[in-house]
Amino acid sequence: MKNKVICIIDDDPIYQLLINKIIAMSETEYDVVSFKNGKEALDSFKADLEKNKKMPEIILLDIEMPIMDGWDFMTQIEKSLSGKTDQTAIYIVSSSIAYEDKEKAKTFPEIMGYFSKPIDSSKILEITKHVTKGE
Amino acid sequence: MKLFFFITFMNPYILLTRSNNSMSFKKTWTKFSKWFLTRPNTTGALASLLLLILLSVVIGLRYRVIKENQQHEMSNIINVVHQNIQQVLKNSYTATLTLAMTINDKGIPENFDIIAPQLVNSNASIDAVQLVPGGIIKYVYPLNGNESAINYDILNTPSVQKEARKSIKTKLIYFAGPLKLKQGGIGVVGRLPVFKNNKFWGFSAVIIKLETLFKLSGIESINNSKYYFQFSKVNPDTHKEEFYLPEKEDFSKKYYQTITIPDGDWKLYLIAREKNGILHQVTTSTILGLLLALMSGLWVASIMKKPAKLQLQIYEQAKKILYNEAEFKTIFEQAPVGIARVDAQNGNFITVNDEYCRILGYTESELIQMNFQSLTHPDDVEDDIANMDLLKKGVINEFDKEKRYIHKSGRTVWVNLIVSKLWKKNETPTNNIAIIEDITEKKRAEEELKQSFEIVSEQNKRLLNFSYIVSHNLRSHTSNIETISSFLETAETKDERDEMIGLLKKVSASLNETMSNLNEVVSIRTNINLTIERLNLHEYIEKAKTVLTEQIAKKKATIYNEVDPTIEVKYNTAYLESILLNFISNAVRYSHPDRKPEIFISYDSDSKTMKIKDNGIGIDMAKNGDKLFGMYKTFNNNPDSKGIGLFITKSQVEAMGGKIETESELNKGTTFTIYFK
Repeated sequence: MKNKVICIIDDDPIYQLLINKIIAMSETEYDVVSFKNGKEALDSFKADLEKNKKMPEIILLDIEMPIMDGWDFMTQIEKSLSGKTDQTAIYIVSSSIAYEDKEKAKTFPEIMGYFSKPIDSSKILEITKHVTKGE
Repeated sequence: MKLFFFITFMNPYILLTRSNNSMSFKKTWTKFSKWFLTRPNTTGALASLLLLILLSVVIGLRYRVIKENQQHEMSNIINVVHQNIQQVLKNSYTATLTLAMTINDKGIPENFDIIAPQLVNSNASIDAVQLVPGGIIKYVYPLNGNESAINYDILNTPSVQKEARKSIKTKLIYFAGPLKLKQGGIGVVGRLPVFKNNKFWGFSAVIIKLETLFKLSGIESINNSKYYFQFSKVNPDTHKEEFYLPEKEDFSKKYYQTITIPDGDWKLYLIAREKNGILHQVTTSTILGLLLALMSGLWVASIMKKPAKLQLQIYEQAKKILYNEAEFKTIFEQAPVGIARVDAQNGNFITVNDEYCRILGYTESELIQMNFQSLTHPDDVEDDIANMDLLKKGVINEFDKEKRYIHKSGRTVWVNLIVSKLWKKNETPTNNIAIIEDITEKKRAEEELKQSFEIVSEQNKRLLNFSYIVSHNLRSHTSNIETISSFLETAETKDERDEMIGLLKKVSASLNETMSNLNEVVSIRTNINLTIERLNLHEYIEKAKTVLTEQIAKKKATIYNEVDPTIEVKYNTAYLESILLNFISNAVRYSHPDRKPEIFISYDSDSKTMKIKDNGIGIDMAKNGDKLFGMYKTFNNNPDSKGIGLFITKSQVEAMGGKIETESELNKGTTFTIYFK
């Protein structure tokens, strides 16, 4: 069991399946955890923190999701998990190529970058390398 | 707006021109004085002439006075001389009579030698006395120097006999001559015929030397600078008038007075020395008068030149003002904006132009009986009065606003109003000038524009939303396809490849679903010619309930159809079905887990609205209100929600010209209000 975690928050099951495959193929030291929307992820993080489990190192966040979308998730992170995401690098991975979304992403200091789908293993490696270097 | 324009046309000049009878006199007088005031030269000449006439009368009068004075003076002088001469003649007569008394009955003079000297010595006028018995000079005193006269036969001497005989005939004393005396010199001889026993005896005579006569008459003592005397007698032989004083030249052209002395048939003349003496006296006055008249004429002309110039300017200005007034009146009457003069105190109309009448639909005579308050839309009156008050207090000089009037026909007229005061600071408020421009059409167009702008921007927003959704939804599929295809390329085993193809089929299916949803949305947007029918709302709700029976039963929901069974709405059948299904299924689906779902559907005929009220989980309107009708923007913690339903519903309602309003409280319920057009 690798101890580093990459967390995928996306409502598209096909994407979930594919990204898992890509990460597996990339032969990184990360385990993958998936959530269908922001609310599920947030609830899980809160539960983990109560059990003194650490936050995932990387989060790949979709924007358009039912129940709690990416932006709502970010707002909740800032609100209820403030200061607990220092070791977590959050990236937006969305099918949106809208300028407005890219600009909105910059308003959250926790967001490290923005990627438009599709995402491949080279991009995953870029992210993991960058995160490792940052440590 | 050029307000001054309209201020000037009300200048007081107009009021002055409205004349009555007393004014017409004034007008004539003004015309009359204008004639003179504008012609200084003519007026000067006339003044000169007038003065000249006046002076001529005065001089004429003076001339007459002088002439009368002269005549009076002359007649005095001549009378004095006449009296003196008469005196001399009377003395002579007395002397001859005295002498005649000396003749006794026998015809012999007695005491001649005593009496004659007495007579001569006591009478200065008598130079000598004679007694001439039978016409022959016999006795003379003084004899000395008169000797040659002795024995001179008078009655037989042709040169003197005529006159001698005349006195015998008349039996009165007669003075002959002046004639050359026998004893030398010129004199007159007064002969008194003496009759004894009715028989001519002879003459008693006196001799008066002419120079003595003249001396005693006082002729020589008068001031001869102005007048002179002449003394004449018609020669009995030649019948020619002979003159005996110097300056014998013809004086018939001169002014003279004359007296006839019958005792000697003499004529005494007093002659004015200068022919035009009196005229000369008035000449100076005449010349002075002429000069005076001329100068006063020039003076009048010169002092009148300046006023005349000013007067001309005044008339020029007046003409200009009249012209301007006419011009302004035309502007006022034909202005394309409504102009009115309004009483600042009570808001009564004083003057209004045609356009003002046209905008409000009243005639001029109707309007001037009204005030602006009664014509103003009730909602605008208060603000108008407040502004008028500020104007009256001098806080503001003018104001402009958009306001509403009520047209005579009752419809509302929008105008752009500008009000300015027509009095100066510190003056009593008099009138305001109000200018209105009909902006009803503009206002309507503006409203339409605003509405269409709202529609366009709403449509634009929807279009943006739509394109965003389209791109997002399509891209999520294409990105998956892209990833899968790259996996297919690199797949090494058949299992791997089969797995990817399986995924591809799934993507294909969801892409298809997305496409059909989008197609449905697009078809609403492009569907312009919808069939509209009268539909019974109650029945359609019941129909929807039937369609959703299973779902309702599963949730144990109750649906209260409170719509009056008679209510009919004009709607497209498919849309009404779709809308009802969507809202009801939505309400059932998002029911609260703690309670049984209850849904109330009602209709309000007045506002043409349908309300669908549930007791479900509710929506956080502050957070998700804007996403409510977004496509694929689902917000409920419910795995069934796809979000497309409400988006399509909203599009359908809007396609029918209505709208949807949402009221909701989290955990309590939601009420959707659908507006029918």
